[in-house]
Amino acid sequence: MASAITEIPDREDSGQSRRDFLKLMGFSVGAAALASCTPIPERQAVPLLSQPEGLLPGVESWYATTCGGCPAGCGLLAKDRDGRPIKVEGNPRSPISRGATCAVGQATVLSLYDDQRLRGPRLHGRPATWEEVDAFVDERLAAIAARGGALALLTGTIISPSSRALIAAFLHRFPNARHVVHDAVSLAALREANRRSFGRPVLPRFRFDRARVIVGLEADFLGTWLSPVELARAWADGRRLEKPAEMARHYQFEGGLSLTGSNADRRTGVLPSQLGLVALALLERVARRAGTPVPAAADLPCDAALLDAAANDLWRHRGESLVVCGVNDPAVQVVVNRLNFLLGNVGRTLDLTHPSWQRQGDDAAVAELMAGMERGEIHGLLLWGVNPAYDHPQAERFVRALGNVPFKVSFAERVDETAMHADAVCPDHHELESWGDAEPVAGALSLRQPAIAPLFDTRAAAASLLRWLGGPGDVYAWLREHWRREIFPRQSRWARFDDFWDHSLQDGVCELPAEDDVGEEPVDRADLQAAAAEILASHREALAARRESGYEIRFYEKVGLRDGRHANNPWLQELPDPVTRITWGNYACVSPLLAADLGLVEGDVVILRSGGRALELPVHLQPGQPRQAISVALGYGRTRAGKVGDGVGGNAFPLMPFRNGFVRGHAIGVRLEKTGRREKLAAVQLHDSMEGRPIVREASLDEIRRDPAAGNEERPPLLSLWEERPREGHFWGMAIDLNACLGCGACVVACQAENNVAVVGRDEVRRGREMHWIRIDRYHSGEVDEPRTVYQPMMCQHCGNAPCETVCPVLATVHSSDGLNQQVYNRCVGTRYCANNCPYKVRRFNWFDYADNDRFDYNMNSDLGRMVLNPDVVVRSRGVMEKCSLCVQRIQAGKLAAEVAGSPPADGDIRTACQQACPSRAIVFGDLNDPGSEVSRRQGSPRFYRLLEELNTRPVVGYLTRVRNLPEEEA
Amino acid sequence: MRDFFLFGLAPYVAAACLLGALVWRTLSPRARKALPEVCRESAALYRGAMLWRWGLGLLLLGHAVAFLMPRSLLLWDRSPLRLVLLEGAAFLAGLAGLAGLALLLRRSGRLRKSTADLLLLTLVAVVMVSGLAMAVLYRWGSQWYALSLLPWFRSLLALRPDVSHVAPLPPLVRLHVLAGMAAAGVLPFTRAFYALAWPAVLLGERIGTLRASRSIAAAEAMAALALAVFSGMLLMGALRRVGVSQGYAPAQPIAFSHRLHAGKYRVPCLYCHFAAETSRHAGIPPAGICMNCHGQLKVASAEVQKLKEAVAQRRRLRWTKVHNLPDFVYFSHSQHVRGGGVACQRCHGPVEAMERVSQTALLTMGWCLDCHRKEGIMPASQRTAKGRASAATGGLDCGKCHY
Repeated sequence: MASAITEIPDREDSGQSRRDFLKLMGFSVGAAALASCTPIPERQAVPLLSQPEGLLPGVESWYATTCGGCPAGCGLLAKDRDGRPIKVEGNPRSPISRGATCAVGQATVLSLYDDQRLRGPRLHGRPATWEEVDAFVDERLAAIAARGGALALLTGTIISPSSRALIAAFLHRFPNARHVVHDAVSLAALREANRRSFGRPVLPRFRFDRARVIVGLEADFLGTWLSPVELARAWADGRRLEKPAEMARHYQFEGGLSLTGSNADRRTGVLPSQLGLVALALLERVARRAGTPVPAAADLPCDAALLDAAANDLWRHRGESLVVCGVNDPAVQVVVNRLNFLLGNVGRTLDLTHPSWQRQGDDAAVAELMAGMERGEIHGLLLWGVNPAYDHPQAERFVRALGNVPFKVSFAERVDETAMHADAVCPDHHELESWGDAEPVAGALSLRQPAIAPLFDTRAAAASLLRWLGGPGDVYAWLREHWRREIFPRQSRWARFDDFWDHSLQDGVCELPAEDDVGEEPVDRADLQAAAAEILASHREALAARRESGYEIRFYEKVGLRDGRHANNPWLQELPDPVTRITWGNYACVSPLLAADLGLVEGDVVILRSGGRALELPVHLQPGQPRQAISVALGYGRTRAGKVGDGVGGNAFPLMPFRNGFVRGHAIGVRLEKTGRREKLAAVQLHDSMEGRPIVREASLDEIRRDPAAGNEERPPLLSLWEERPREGHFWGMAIDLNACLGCGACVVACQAENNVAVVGRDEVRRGREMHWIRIDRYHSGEVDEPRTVYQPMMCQHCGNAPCETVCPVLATVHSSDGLNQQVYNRCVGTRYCANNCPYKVRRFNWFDYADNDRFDYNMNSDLGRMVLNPDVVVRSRGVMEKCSLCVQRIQAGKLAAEVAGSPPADGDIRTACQQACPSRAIVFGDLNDPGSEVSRRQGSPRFYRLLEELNTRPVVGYLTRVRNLPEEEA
Repeated sequence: MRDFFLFGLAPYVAAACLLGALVWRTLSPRARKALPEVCRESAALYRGAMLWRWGLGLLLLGHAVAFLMPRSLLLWDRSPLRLVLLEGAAFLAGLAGLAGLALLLRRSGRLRKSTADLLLLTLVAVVMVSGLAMAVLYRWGSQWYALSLLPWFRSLLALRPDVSHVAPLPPLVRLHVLAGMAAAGVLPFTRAFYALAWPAVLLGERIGTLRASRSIAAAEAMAALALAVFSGMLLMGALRRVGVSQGYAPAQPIAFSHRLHAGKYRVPCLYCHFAAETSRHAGIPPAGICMNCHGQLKVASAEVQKLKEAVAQRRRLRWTKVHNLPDFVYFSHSQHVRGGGVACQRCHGPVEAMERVSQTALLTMGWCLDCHRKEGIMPASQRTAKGRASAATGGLDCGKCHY
């Protein structure tokens, strides 16, 4: 009724009436609508003037090359789109990589587009031209040669035969010159021990695939040690349960929880200073069985029963066992050599006739060079691929000694800690821009060819050397000539060199036939008594130091950052460490037991003092850490790496002791002081326990032998509200073998490279906003000092009954007919309901525009950095949800290729980026509607299960149980 | 220049004639007085046979409907059967109209004597004959009306005549348009003008008698409602076209004529856009491709000189992209051309008839789906082996294009 309505009188004093507001609103809406009606912005298309054959915009081309991420020398295939490399993948023909890569290898492509690389040569701290630099160097070299001055060439490990020949030529030209090899993390003691034991100062090639029993002492061969991709694949191949119930057994003794230790069947923590005692104790037990007398061990550092079990296993599998030691102390390595010798492993699982060249650093020679520099005996120093002013334990001394060298040239790609002191910096190409070759293992050669013309005015280091030798500086000619002269005669397959060269270049690799003359079987002639005495002496010393001040530090490399040379690579900085799950920085790993005693909590900043040096780091409570040992990662605390790497974490290299000519991997007599400050670590996982739920299902090998479905019995009843979807055509699925997965993180970086996943930085990770589409969950169980660790790659599970799909109000996440859960970015309005409703927590929200935003100053805010982006995948904008798409762009491309070829895609033709990169072949993707596919076979295995099956989400992604080959008495 | 006179100026002249005559003939008091009588007389004269009335009426109605709803016309034309149906109906109407015209002329001596009327009827005959020929000879007749002539009409209405839309059309179509325009210009000088005005005059008389009645108010309300609905529909139509750049035909650095190359000389599309079969991008040909022929041919032409200069100076040519898709959609030429066997013209229109390339298709998602709903996306039971493969890559799943 009208009378019931009270009229509100118009308020004339308000200035603005409702009508005015409506008018204004109408105007603004109209104006906005009109403004949005303006024609689309003009876009330009710029074709090439003349298009080289084989280069088609929008079509990738692949170049076989060799990785330069570390000296392991994996064969790679570089994917070029529109003339620029955007991704690298392992070369399946390479005997080292066998088609896989590690996280570092995947990330090298981003280093190519690093903003902080030098744009051209520098002379006396200022940009210069190559002519000026060459004139300067020529003049200085001539002067040094004229008065017989001493030159030194300090390089990293050089696995390139042609470069080694070039260095030989350089040394020939300057007779008073020497070549010194420096590795930040060296294996010099292993080479020295092989000299003492077998008369061969080489690194053996380890054949894990032939070993049934593996005992590791500290060596993190699955993560960082020597040649991780090669060794991880071989290790995983020895553990496949495909022929039922056969797998190798792996014991690991180590000073902190490493990736390798966490994957071992039986792992035990030992103080780093006591690893020699473990070796001695094992030797004593094995020798007793072999009937040879050996020096008696001192007190046992760990459980005698465990040592007995390991020795029993080793002895039972003589000739197919392997003891690997990563301690950089020749005395310990000599004992390990004797172990392998007594077990008959030399020549079987330990190949000395095809040695590895992957680490050639000589700590003693570097020390000697430094002394020579201090004495002013070195008149010229060329630095190639090294950064000792950062990564040498006595870096300060090195920098001071540099002051005594009148002529210093660096080939560094950036003005790093060492290059800043050089007179001339002659920036080397990135490896994707350069010609080269590699022989990581004797007889296994690979070639490196450029995948892009040099981006900047840089010059290959080899070209610089060639130029200073008086030649034209043509690396390609030198390389080809070297192969014609040295490599071609060693093979018999090709009669003409041109054929040989073309095929080798196309394949990327070339395996030379084994040389018939392998020499006599190596015999161990080492002085074991002396080695044992040395071990016992250092044990007593460590014992005394422990009584006095308490702690030991174990220095280790992280799988992402390694020795720190890639510190400016944001992908690697943001890659969570597999064991600690922490990104962006290093920390002091302490045992939770010790932390409880000292009243330390996660993130408390402490000062570690050792040998007069101090390092301030936050504390991370790490289960499995021996009580009195603290683990600290190397590779952080760079000061001249660039905008990404500078000031992240602390530099632990200066704390490493230098003893008897070797840089030790552990320090003794370390004091720990609290500062009272606390710092939040950028961790991506804050809870370590599965809380008793069967998230990662496990069984022991014995149980699996009795019942293949052991550990996987739980089959909840499933009730569905939804109709079964038809499964026509393709139906994609994935199966991840948790028994093969190491957690190494190669898949994480591969996914990042493939799918344009943004780097968000330390602060955003602290807020839990990392963007990785695939994460590797790590769970600990069992005792806090002896945890059982499992890894589980976790990405969108592509549920058949997807909880995310039912809550999206705008249908931005829907199901496809071929089994994928799709995220439609242009439809998403960012309610985040889907992420909330996802039981696997795999959805990632774009809280910011990560691209073209200077707040995220990594790689997506510059034209150079954006060159790495995959043009087949959208760069997501602010406010949308994203997640794993099972590499739908690869699926589509594979289907198109099949369509063109006229036959359905074969199993394995379409591979996701994570699957492609995986060194241990843990991930398999394929068509579930094809009963013969590998993924169907795996999903039919009794070990197969779906995560959180009781929710009846019906994922197409699933897992295979983790199996441990426990020692008999524990099984 | 000639094109500009014919299609840029002449329409305004015709319109001015029409409007001027309209004003002069209806407003001058002398004329007004005699108007009803003249009108009645002229209407009787032009009444003619049923064939004439219906044929002409249907044709004019069809043009008017298509003018108001070009999008519906395009949608209708998407199926070949419906296209043939439409053009066939128009053809029959045209035949009927032409026959009616002949009958009209034969029966009415007065019309034959008036020069202006004879001229008008001749022009109408030309329009009809050319229209019939178009229906027979070209598949794209009605498409051209919607895609080329209407943008041109719109540009005329906006007083920014853009002749690029009509210039590339075949001579027959241009004749059709010009004759129609001329007929409109001649119209006010003929009796046909009065004949057309007759219904209005009649209506005016009726209103005069009804003015006092109440029903006029109802009629006015109805008219207002109709106007509101109509303008609402127009607004909706306009809003749905936000971001749609149909008809976009930017100028290019070199006035390359597809009409000449692809139309007259029949150079296959894939000769220059050779990447379309293998790559995601069809690609703009590198200058080297052009020089394959223009090394020898037409080297003196000013446009070819631009090309040669660019090659000599190693200067990249910066073309303006005509067809732009948003970044969040993945479109692969290879997938459609090689995988789906789709002809270029399906999406790009009659490029072989375009002097300057313009965007003929809507390029909206709905437009994509119109096709995806139909082809390669058949029910599994009807799929051939080929269709099956296309379905696997195409289809209606969001993730087939958005990733």
